[in-house]
Formats: sequence, C-alpha cells, structure tokens
Amino acid sequence: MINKNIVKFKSTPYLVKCKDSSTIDFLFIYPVKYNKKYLFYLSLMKQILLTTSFDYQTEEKYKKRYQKLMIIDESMYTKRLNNNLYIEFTLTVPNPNKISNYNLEEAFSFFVKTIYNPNVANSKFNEEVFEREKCYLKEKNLYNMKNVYAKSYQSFLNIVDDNGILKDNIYNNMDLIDTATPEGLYEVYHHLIQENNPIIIVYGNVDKKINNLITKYVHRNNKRIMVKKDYYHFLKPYEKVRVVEEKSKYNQSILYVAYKIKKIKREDQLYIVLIKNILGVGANSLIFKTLRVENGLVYSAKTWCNIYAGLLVVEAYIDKKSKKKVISKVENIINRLKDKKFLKTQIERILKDMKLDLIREQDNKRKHLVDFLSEKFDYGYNLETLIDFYSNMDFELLIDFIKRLKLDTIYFLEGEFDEKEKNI
Amino acid sequence: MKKKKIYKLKNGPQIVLYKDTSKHCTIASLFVMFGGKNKKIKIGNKNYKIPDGMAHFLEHLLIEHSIYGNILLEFENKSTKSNGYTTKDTTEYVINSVIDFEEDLVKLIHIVNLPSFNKKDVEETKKAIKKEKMMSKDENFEALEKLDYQTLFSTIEYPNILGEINDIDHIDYSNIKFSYDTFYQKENQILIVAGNFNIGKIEKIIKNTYDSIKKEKKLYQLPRLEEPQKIVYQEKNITRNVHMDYVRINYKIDIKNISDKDRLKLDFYLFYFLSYLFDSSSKTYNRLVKNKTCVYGINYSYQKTEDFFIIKIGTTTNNHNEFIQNVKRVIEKKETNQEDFELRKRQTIIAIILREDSFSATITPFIQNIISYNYYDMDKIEDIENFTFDDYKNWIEFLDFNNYSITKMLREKEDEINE
Repeated sequence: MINKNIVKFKSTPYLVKCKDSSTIDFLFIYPVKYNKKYLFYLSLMKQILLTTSFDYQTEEKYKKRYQKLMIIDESMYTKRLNNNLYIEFTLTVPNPNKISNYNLEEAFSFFVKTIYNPNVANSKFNEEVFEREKCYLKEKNLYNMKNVYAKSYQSFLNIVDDNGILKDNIYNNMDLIDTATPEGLYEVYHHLIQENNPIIIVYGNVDKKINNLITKYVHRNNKRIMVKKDYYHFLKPYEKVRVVEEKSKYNQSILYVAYKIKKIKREDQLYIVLIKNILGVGANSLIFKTLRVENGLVYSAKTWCNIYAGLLVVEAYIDKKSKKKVISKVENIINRLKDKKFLKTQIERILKDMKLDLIREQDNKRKHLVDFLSEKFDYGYNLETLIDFYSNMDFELLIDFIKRLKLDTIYFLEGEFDEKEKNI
Repeated sequence: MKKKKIYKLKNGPQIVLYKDTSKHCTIASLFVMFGGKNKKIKIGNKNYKIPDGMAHFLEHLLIEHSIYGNILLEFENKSTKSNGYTTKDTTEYVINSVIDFEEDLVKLIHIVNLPSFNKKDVEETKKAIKKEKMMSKDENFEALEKLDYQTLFSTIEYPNILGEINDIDHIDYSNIKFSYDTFYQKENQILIVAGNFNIGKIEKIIKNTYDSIKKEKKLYQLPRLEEPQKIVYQEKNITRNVHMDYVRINYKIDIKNISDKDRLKLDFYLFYFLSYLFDSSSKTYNRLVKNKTCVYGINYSYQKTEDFFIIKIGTTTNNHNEFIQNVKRVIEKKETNQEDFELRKRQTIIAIILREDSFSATITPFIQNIISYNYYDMDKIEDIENFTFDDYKNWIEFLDFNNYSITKMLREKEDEINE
C-alpha cells in the first residue's frame, strides 16, 4: 500500500533535461522538520553562507571569486509547509557548450564549498561577520515594516490566524534575534545541513556524465531520503466574523476580506485554487470586473489563497469611503458562484485561458523544473493537472464546497487619502 | 530561425519586426513618443502647456474607452494578455497573443489611432487615476526622485507621470483632444512585433491598417531646453516615514556632444565603472560596511535624461557625511581596473547569449536601444568584444563629475509620527 504521507527521494541526483536551456541549475534541497528556533538562524545562515566562506572570508574576496567564475546566480531559499521545511540552495551557471572556455567544475566546487565549508572556526561562525549580518537582518525587518503593504499583511495574518501558524514568522518574533549566537548558528547549520542528506537536482542540457562531477565533490550516504509529509494546518473558522479596523498615517487604505472553509478536507485544496482563479486573475477576473470596471471602487485588487491553511483572501486597495461597498460586492460574488449555470461559464472562461497559458509556458524554459519540483515534492499544481481537474469537474461537490466557504475575517487599514479632498 | 526587419512606413510609424520561430506566442508593442516629460510644445509661434499626468491619462482613456470598449476586457475574452505603460519618455500599448495575432494587432493599432472617448469617459477615467495616485503616494522613492530633479535641473521639470490630484481635476476633453492630436500622429509611433509570425503577411496588415487611418498632420516643436551643466541646489531634504535616513549623490554628466552610438557604448562603460566602485565586491562597499556606515548595499544607477546622464549613488545610513565623502573620493579618483573591465565584458557577452532563454530578456534591451539611443538593433557580441580597456579608461577620464547634488530622505521624528 502506498503511504501518501511519505515522500520518497532517491539518493542519486535527479537529472531534469532541458535541451534548449543556456544555463545549468544545481539544486541541493535539504528536508527538515520545522522548529521555531530556526526562524532567525535560517535568515542569518543565508546571509553568511552566500557572502563568505572558509576560503574567502570577506564579502569582497567571496564576491570577486564569484564574479570570476561567471556565476549567474547563487541563492538559498526556504519553503515552509506547516511542519515541513525545505532548504534549497541553487547554483545557476552558463552551459559550457554555449560559452567558450567555461570551467564548470570550478564553479561547482565553489558552490559546494559555499554550502559545506563556511566561515567557521572552533564550531562557531566568524563573530564579526555574524554580528554584521545580525544587525543587517534587524534593520531590514524594521525597514520592511514601514512599508504599507508589509505592515498591513502582517497585521492581517495576526488577526486571521489564532493558532499562530501563519503569524509564526520573523516579524512577530523579533526578540529571538537577540538570543542568536555564532555558536548557536553553527549548531543549527551543522544539524540542518552538514548532518543532512540533500536531494540533488540538475536542470539543463546535461547527461549522466554530470554525476561524476557531483560524486567528486559531494559525499553523501546511499540511503533513500524519506520525508514525512505534514504540510497542512487548516485554520478553523471563527464562530463570528472577526472585524478589525485600524487607522494609519499612510495614504492608502487596504482591505482584506478572508474566507475559511467549514469542515475542510484535503481534497478541498483544488477547489480553493479554482475559486481563487475565478475571482482573481487578469482584467477579466470577477473581482477586477466587479470592483473596478463596473463599480469604480478600486484601482487594484487581487485574490490569493493558502491551500495548506485553507484560506481564501481578497485584498483590495481602496478609497477609505468604499469599504462597505467593496465587502458587500465580494460577498455577492461568492454567493453568485452558488448558481451552477454562472459557475459553469466562469470555469469555461478560465479553462480557455489556462489552455492558452499552457502554450505560452512553452516559451518559459524553467517550466520543466518548476513542474518537476511541484510533482516530486507534492506541493502546488501544474497547469496540466488543473486543466484536467476543471475539465472533469463534479459540480455538486464544487457547489457543496462553495457553500462551506465562510466569511471569516475582515481587516481594514484605513489611510488618510480621500479622493474628494484636494491638495492632500 | 531568427530574422529582423526594420523599416519606416511612408507617412507612418517606424516598424520593427523580429521573427523567432522557436516561440509560441507573439507580442506587439506600440510606442507613442509621448511621456511624462512632455510638458510644453510650440505650434507656430504659440507655446502650449501640457498638464502633468496627461500622457498617462490618455493611456487610460484609450484602453478603457476604445472603439471596442474596455480593451483589456476585449483582449482577455480571447485570452490575449494586454496592458499599457507610461514612462517619462513614452506611452506603450502591448499585447501578447497565442491565437489570431493578426486580428489582435489590427485592434491594437486601432485603439491607439481611432479614439472614441467622450466627455463622460474623461470624468470616469479621473476616478481610476485618482485611486492610482493614492497608491503611489506611499512610495517614498518617488518623492526623492522629485527632489533629485529640483536640485539638478533648472529647465527640465520632474516628469510627474501620474500628475497631482489638482492636475487630474483640471484635465478636460479639450486639452486631452489637443494632446492626442499633437502627439498621437502616426509618425510619432514605433511598432515592434516579436515572435513566431509570417513577416510578409504582418507587413501587409500593418500597412493596410495604417493606410486606412486618416489623420491630419499637425506640425509642432518640442522646446529646446538650454539646460546648463551646473546644478541648481547643492542639497535638499525631505522627511518621510522610513526606518533610517536614505542619502543619495546625484551626478549630472553632460553628454550633449556625444553621438547616440557612443552614448550606447557609454551606457555599458558606466555600468562597468559603477559596479567596480560600488558593488558588493568593491573596496568602497566593504569599507563602508565594515565601519558600519552602510547596513544595506549601495544602490547605484544611471539614466539618460535629455542630454545628460544622471548617475545616482545612494544608501540607507545615519552617517551621511562618511558616505558622501567616500563616494565623492572614489568617483573623483576615476579608478579603473583592466582585469575587472575584462571580467565585466565577459559577463556582458554571457548575458547576451543567455538572453535567448527568455523572450522578455531578448526584447526589453532591444526596445531600450531604440527608445534611449535611437539604435534600431540588438546588442551584438562582436560590439562588446571590440570594447578595449584604453577606450573605456579614456571615456571615464573624459566624463565631468564636478556637478552633483545631494538629496536625503530623513526619518520622521517619533513625535511627528505619533501626532
């Protein structure tokens, strides 16, 4: 019997071939179980690993070497899905077949050393570099929180999420940064990276020979990698709609209208994505058409969802006097979707768009990589899956889902701008 | 297979066709040489003032009240992506089609050239634009940009693309019609088509469509701005709701006597020069980070504004003087390095090769060459290979960095925030 809660990965690299690509991507992905203490350490790790190493102990030396090796990009990215965390390092370099005298091996070895030979001595990261990056991170977070969009988003998360899964982020845990130490960072790094076995993916016009390069520089055990999937943490709807309003000195007013799902089940995630797509993509979307084209209530509005939390959100940038009208229009749209005939037209509309997007996607050379990751790690959906699902839609189940959509949270950050008042 | 064709229609726009048979979609960008910077014109002996925000207003009006109705909806109905953008120099109308491109192209030319808006549409458009203005008012760097213009130029005004609320209120049908008739002439347009299409067929469609549009020719002159090399104010500050002060040095470099071809070359050279001095591998950046003057990186950029290159070097810092003195010192020294130059040249060549992977990466620099440097071609590897260190060094030596202003975005004091 297949256990759908376990994702298995082979110990040898996955080669994802794209013969037209002018670049080669090496991805090292470390699966980890989430722990709150990693919040700041992961951000610090990213800052330090990608700017210094044991061989190049200052940013000046590190970046000079990086440039000399003609590296196109080197990044570290963390994807958190409830209790699962994937730490992904990527190296993008030119394909040596396209560039004369390109030394792929030197670039790859630099990348491996970036990950495995950091600026560490006596089981702690270099103190000077650590303190600098800690200071940078603190300042950056404070800086970001002055931005109206970041500020309103954080406030919204704190209101919509009583359990703290969504709001469990660095902005709400600023005190943790002061407890971070170079020794603590090393301990976390050693556990998450050095003691861990990465899933390796190579993307581009490559063949099996690339394995020799990987084997030469990366020493891993031959065990298959098993990840226990714990991606979901559905937010429970509040008994009564939670309404929070705040005044601010910004010009902009921002409104969040959030829906949660009663009696949510995992199968609902495809429906959440469907409703999000009907409501919120492009000029022909229901939200844009209703709020801007037909009623002139917004300049811009978008719909987004979090399938792992069971959350569907309309976010609108509005004039402060339009709040009530916008909420009522959003509610009307959701209610209209309960009408099968109307719903059918909407699905046909987005299906048509998606089929053409599928053709457009062929011009995007990274599509194969994105699709490979979402399939292998079992997160997100590619266009083909969505088209197949929407084409064979069971309308009874869909309408049952829409009936379970419950208006849950309204957050309004009121700005000062009023379009009728001049000279503001 | 890739093929290019560039020509000018008789009494019509400049046409750029770029065929790439590997692509699955086709894009068309129709540029009108009317942007936020166009504030004054002369017709005969009479001077006219164009209200701030006019080019952007027209973009909205033509898109939302075209002969096909709201063209965004019209295009989206058949899953064609479309949009409009106004910059300081141009207004762009763009489509991205997968099916029936020819039909979409005709519509694109029509919406720009066959206006159908009325007085009621003008009033309706004002509402949307005021909301857009509201969103932009929280953008701190827009306010700083305005300050940069005030300090640098005496005759070139800040291209207030959206206009202020008062400007928007004062736009009416007659001044819109006047601006439209003046700037939307066929000769004032550039049409770029890129993707997988039949060149002969598209050429014919473009010709027939433009031929069927009758527009009266209106002669006008753009003002000759006698902008001096000197700056206007040494320093200006604004106060905003930011976490830390932002400080910027703006260099005003006169390029009046430099040809378009050399300006394009200089564009690359400036990038090499500024990257060498201020990127994360530079001595200056690392020194300023070490002594805690900079917490974040150093932002450096340059843009062509009329006959000037404006170079901006800024950072978030509380130690204003240390930052300014360091930047001034290294700029005045004009230090160049041959190894670094060769490295960046190679990086440019690789970047040009890699552009093949992305349609937008291919097209965007091409359009930039046309709009900014009147160069109707793509960057070519052989051109970059011909760059020499001596030439680069001579050009950097030639540039006059004596004219600069300082602009600062200062953090509001706590009592101001809590008021």
